[in-house]
Amino acid sequence: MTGDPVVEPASTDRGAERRDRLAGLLQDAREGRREAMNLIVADLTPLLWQAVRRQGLSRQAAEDAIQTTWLTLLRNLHSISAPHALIEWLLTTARREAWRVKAAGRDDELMGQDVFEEMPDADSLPEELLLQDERRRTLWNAVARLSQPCRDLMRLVAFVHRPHYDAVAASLGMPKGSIGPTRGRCLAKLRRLLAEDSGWMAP
Amino acid sequence: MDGAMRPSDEHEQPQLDAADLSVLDEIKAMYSAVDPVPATLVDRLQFALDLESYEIDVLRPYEEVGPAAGARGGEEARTITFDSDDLTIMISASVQNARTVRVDGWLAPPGDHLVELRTSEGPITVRADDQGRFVMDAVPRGLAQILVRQALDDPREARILAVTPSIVL
Repeated sequence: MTGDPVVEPASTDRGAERRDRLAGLLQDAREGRREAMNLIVADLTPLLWQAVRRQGLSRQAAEDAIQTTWLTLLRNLHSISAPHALIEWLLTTARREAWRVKAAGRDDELMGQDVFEEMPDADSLPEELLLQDERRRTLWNAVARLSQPCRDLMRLVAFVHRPHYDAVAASLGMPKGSIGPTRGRCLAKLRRLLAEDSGWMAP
Repeated sequence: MDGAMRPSDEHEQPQLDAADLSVLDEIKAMYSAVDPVPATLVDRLQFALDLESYEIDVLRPYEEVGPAAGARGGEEARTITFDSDDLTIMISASVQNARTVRVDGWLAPPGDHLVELRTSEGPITVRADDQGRFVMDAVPRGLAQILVRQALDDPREARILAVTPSIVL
């Protein structure tokens, strides 16, 4: 990956660092080092969680889908050699496992399409959701006003660093290469909504 | 889906500025707060993945009947069915006392299989009978995972055929 143009200093440094770390861990895990696998699991489970919850799974069903995703990975670990391939493989598999869980009827406590439909009114959110923070509530309200596809995309992109957008496309069932333009449009819309809100000030 | 795949979009993306990145960071923090990964999920995953072989079939939870996880007491047993392409395994766990449960299980199709229950206090291994039935008594409560192995004369050489995710008994 050397020779990439440095176009986004902030994210490129951060993304590249994470990618290098993940590449090293993946190599170690393929050689059978348990500790490396544990670190990969800790690193990527939050992304998988958001991805399967976005598909409308209950928390229990989401756990099932994520457990079987990681177990399925073990068999395929030898064929996956790069972090972007790993992330894409995991998101694609998690999407399929989530479908399976739904098809098996393991999702009897289905909570709805996404958390926004469960909790449409920010003013009535329970405190334990940690949205009492004014700034976060403002963001929540703005994100809630995005279209569902924009919201889904923002949710996943926020958990994935830039070079891995093919993986996001796989999880959302969007064409590769469409993530960038759509992300730009959704972010612009979100920032416009935030700019209109007096509760929001640029950090 | 293989290692040859390239991050094709890496050079084609419109650029994100610092404000975009900061909003994305805040979105991440927001979702992490509103819909957090269950506190012990990563531990349970790491437990389930701590296997000596990677050549395994995954037994997926298929159906679960009985008291909700965490429910205490009562005579009612909790029954969980798992299946893979080749195997179905059903277990019924009933509480014996504050520390242990009894596990009655059934495996189909019946075959010469060893069933191992990995627990935090070590593995419990039994051989399924010719009907595919097995019983485990005094299983410590807590995190567990079922492994199905070929029954061989030397159990140490018995290859893992299939595993379940970790469950909490």
